[in-house]
Amino acid sequence: MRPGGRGGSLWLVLGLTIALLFLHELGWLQPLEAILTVPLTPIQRLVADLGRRAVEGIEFLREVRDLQGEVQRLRAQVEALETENLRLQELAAENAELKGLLGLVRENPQRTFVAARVIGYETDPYLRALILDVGTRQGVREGMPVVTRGAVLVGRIAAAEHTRSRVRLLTDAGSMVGALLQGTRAMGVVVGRPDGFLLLDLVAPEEAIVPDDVVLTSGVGGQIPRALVIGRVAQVLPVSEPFRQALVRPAVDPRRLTAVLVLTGFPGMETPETP
Amino acid sequence: MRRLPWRALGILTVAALLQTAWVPLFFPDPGRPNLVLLVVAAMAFLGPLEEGVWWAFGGGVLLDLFSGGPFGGSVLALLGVAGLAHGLSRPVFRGRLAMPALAAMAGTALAEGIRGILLAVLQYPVDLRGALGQIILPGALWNGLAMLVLYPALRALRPPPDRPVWWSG
Repeated sequence: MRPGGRGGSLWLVLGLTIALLFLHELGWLQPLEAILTVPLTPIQRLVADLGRRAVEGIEFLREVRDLQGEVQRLRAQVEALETENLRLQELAAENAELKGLLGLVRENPQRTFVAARVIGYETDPYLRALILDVGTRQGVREGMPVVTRGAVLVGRIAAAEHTRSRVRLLTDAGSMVGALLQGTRAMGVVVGRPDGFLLLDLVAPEEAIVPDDVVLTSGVGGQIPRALVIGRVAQVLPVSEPFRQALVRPAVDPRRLTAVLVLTGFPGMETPETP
Repeated sequence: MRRLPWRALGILTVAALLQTAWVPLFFPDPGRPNLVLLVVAAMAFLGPLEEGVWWAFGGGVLLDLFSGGPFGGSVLALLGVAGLAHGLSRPVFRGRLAMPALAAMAGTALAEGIRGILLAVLQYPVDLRGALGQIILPGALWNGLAMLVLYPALRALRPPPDRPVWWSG
C-alpha cells in the first residue's frame, strides 16, 4: 500500500473527528454550529414531521388493521352472543315450561308422570295428534292422559311404541272426554272438532251452560283424573237436540307445546288392559 | 342393475321431516301445504307414470312413518295424486306454472278425499261435509300457491331424463 493512500486518509479522518469532538467540547465550534443549524432546522422539522406523519400513518394503518381484526372479532363475538342470547331465550322459555311441569309434579305427589318432548305432528289433516319421544320403554301405555303446565289436558296416548308414542289431541274428531263445568257443575262430554274447537255435548237440558265457564275433566271412566283443565266455553249453541251443547276453546294450543307430561299413574286410575 | 334411489329418498325424507316438524308450526288450521304431496305431484307431472308411482310410494311411507298416522293411508292418497298429476301433464305445460299448480290443487282434493273415505271405512268419525270447507279447500289453495313458488325448484331437483334412473330398470 502506498504511504498517504487509504490508510493515511483513515488516520486523517479519525484525527479530524477527535479534534472536532474536542473543539465541540471546548465550545469553539458553537458559532459555526449556530450558522449551520439555521437552515437545517426547518428542513429537519419538515423531515421530522414527515417522519412522524409516516409513523402515524403506519401506526394508523396498523391500527386500522388491528381495528379490522378487532371489528371482525367483535362481530364474531356479537354473532356468538346473539346466538347465545337466542339459545338462552329458548332455554328460558323451555325452563319456564319445565318449571310449570315440575310445579305440576310437586303439587301432585300422588300422581306419577313421565316427561316427554314433542318431536312431531300428525300430517293427515283429518287427524290431530302429536308425536312424543317416550314410549313403552318409559312406561307409557295406550289411553294414558297427557298434560301440560297448569294441569291442562292435552290429549291421550293413542299408540305407544318402544321409543315413541302418539297423542290423540282433544281436538281430534275421535277424541271424547268426560267433562264438568266448573261454575255450574253441569256434566257432559267433550268431543273434538276439525276446526280446532271442542264440542261440549250431552249436557242435560235442565243444566246451565255459561259462556267463559271453565271446562274440567269429570274423571268419569277412571282413565283421566278429575279436574284437569280442558278449556273455556266459547259459545253456547242453540238447543236443537235433547241435550244442550256448547263450543269450547281448548286451554292449550298444541303447536306451542315443546314438552309435556304423560300421566302414568294417579289414584283411582284404571289400568288399561294389555293384550 | 337398478341405481339406488338415494336422491329421491333424500328429497322425500327432507320433505316429510319438514312436513311433520315445521309446517304445522307455521301454518295454523285450517289447511296447510303438504310438501311431500307437492314433490310427488311435481315429479309425476314431469316424468313417466311409473316414476310418479315410486315417488308416491316412498313419500307416503315416509310421511306415515314420521307422523305416526295410520300406515298406508298417505301412500294411497299420494298414488292418486301421482296418477292425476301425470294425467294432467303434457310436454307443453311442463315449463309453465299454472298447470302444475292446478295439478297440485286437484291432487290435494283427490288425496284428502281418499284419506277421508279411508278413515270413514276404518270407522273413524269423519264429517265429510265439514271436511270440504275445513280441510280440502284450504289445503288445495295452500298447495296450489305453494306449487307456484316451489315448482321451479322441484323441476330442477328431478333427475335428468337422459340418464338411467333407478325406477327404469
